[in-house]
Amino acid sequence: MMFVMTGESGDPTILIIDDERTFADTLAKRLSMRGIDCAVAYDAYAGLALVAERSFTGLVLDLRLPDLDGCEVLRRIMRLHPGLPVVILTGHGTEDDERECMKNGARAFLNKPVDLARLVQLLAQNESGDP
Amino acid sequence: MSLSLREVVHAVWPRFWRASSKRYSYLTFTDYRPMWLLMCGLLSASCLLPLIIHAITDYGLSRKTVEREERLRTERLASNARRSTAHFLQERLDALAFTAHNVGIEALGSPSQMAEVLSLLKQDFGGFTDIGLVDDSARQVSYSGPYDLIGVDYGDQEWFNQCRAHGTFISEVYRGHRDEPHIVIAVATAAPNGTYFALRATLDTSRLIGILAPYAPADQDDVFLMSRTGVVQTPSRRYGKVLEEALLKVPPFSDRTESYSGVDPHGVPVTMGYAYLTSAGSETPFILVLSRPRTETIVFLSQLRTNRVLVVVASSLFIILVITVTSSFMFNRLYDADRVKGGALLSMQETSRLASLGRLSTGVAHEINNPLAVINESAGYIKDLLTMERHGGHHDELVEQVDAILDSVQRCGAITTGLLGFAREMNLHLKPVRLEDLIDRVLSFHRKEAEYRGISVSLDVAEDVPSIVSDPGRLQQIFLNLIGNAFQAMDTGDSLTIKVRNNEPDKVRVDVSDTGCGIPREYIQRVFEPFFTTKVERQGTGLGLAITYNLIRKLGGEIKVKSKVGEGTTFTVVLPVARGEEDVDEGVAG
Repeated sequence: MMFVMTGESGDPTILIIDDERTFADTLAKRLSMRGIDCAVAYDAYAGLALVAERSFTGLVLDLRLPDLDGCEVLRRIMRLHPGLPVVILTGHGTEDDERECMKNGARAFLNKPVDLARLVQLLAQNESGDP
Repeated sequence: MSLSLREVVHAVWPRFWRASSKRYSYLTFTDYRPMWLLMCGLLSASCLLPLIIHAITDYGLSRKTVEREERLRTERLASNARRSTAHFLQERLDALAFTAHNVGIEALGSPSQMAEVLSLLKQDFGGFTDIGLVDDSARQVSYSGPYDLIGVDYGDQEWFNQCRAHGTFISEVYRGHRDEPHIVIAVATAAPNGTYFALRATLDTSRLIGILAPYAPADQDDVFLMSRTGVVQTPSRRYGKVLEEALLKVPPFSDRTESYSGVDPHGVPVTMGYAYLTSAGSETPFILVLSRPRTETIVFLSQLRTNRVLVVVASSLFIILVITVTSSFMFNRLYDADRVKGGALLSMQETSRLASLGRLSTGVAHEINNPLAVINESAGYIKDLLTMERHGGHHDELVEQVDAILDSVQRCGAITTGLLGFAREMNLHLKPVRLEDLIDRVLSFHRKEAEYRGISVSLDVAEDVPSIVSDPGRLQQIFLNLIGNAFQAMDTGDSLTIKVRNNEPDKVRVDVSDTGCGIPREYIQRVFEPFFTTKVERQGTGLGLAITYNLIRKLGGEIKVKSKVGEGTTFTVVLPVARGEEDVDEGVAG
């Protein structure tokens, strides 16, 4: 299951992987209103397929996904694209989760609900920091 | 090494004796004191009883041996005295018979010859006082001695007839004509002319007394002769004067030396020995009596008893001390270990309570944060639309976002309701329930799914299972949860078995077994905790089993779980046939 939304200004640059559809969709809309184009995937495998297919400048990843653990998704993506900026955005991540994700190369670990401005800031940094 | 008094007291008396009377469930014994007393008592009894029994039997045996020894000694002494006395009398009778045969009646008739015979008898044997010859007509025809007794007629005296009949005669001691205690002995024989004559002699009792004396060496010993009629014959120290009635009864006849222990007429404990004297196979009128006070034996026995008692008391005290010290040591160790264990348990309980609280908070935060995130984004988006877009006409999109917000609010509401329902008191509506029907109804919700997923379902209800009085609504919720969980755990080809049994009286047991994926060992302890879930899908809130657990407790039942990864899981619910009025604590499980 996946849904890809192309933003107004061309190819999507950010991929959102979250099974909370309403949240993912709305977040995508709000980011695109701020000039950041988004693709959305509602489960891990759809997300991984998209990552393999296209190139993104950043990733917003939920930890609790129906088919695969978020940490595992992070590991696989890091194998495909080492250095891709990934922001973990989860309902309530434990400190263990945070340590694990940061170790595996996540750029930030945020809890929901998130301040959009901060997310945009993080993603903008990521864009600029992308090699 | 010096020990303080306090340490010594603590070695003997257990530390917990004055401990607070608080009872903790982690203690090995509810109260250590009776257990300690019981242990000390049992050990002491099992050690002391054989000791005491042994001491008593051993003392009894020693006493018997000593008494037997004492009687044997008395018997031996009495036997010897009897032999000496009998020998003395026999010797004199023999001398008299020899004289009668060898000197002859003619010679004995002459006073000078008679005097010579007497002096020879006195010289060779001793003890003779006088001697006389009595003819057929019982008249003393010849006599030699200190008195003038020639011509005395003995026709009226018993001895003459007896002597004639038996050949010999020994008289009792008597005073007779001379007022001097003496014994008459006589032998009868036939003269060459065919007439009958008797040789009669008087014996001085002092020789007899002299023979007996060595058999009563101690001051308190007494040896004397008494007649068969109970008259004292030779001087007795304690049992009457000579020729008076003895203070002792005549002992029963026996042809051998006898002995017995008893108390004499003076109240003195004595060992008595006696023997009926016989001489050359014929009876004499004498009974030899030997009496020895038991003073020494009694003193010895009482010393023995005192010794035994002292030994028993000393060893008992030692044994009791050792047992008490050992028991106290062991019990103190146990008590200390229990206290350490108890402290650890209490802190573990506290830790697990805090951990549970932490997990609960985490769960609530997570479940609430997701819808909050949706609300956040939707509200943010609405604001974006209202502020960032210059042109209007976003009516549909606004409605969509508001719906999303309302939906999320509802989700939050469901979670808080679930939480409250989980904690709050629920009113039960009790009525008779047939579990078979109820479970069948619950299974019907899953029938289509089972067909579609190829899962076999069987319900096995034993015939003797009674209807139970319970809340059907709650029961339905319980089995919906358990069966729902089972379906989530199973794959194609797995099977679900529900067994209802009435093994215990007043209790019905329901086993819900699936052959699904099973629960890993590390999660088994936590399955009934709120918000604990291993399901990756967002199905449910993680409250299902926690609520089920509380519902079953409220219905007065129990739930247990057994599981093995890859083999399946069995939830066992035990419900009372009739719901008791017990109170179940409210609140969060775990």
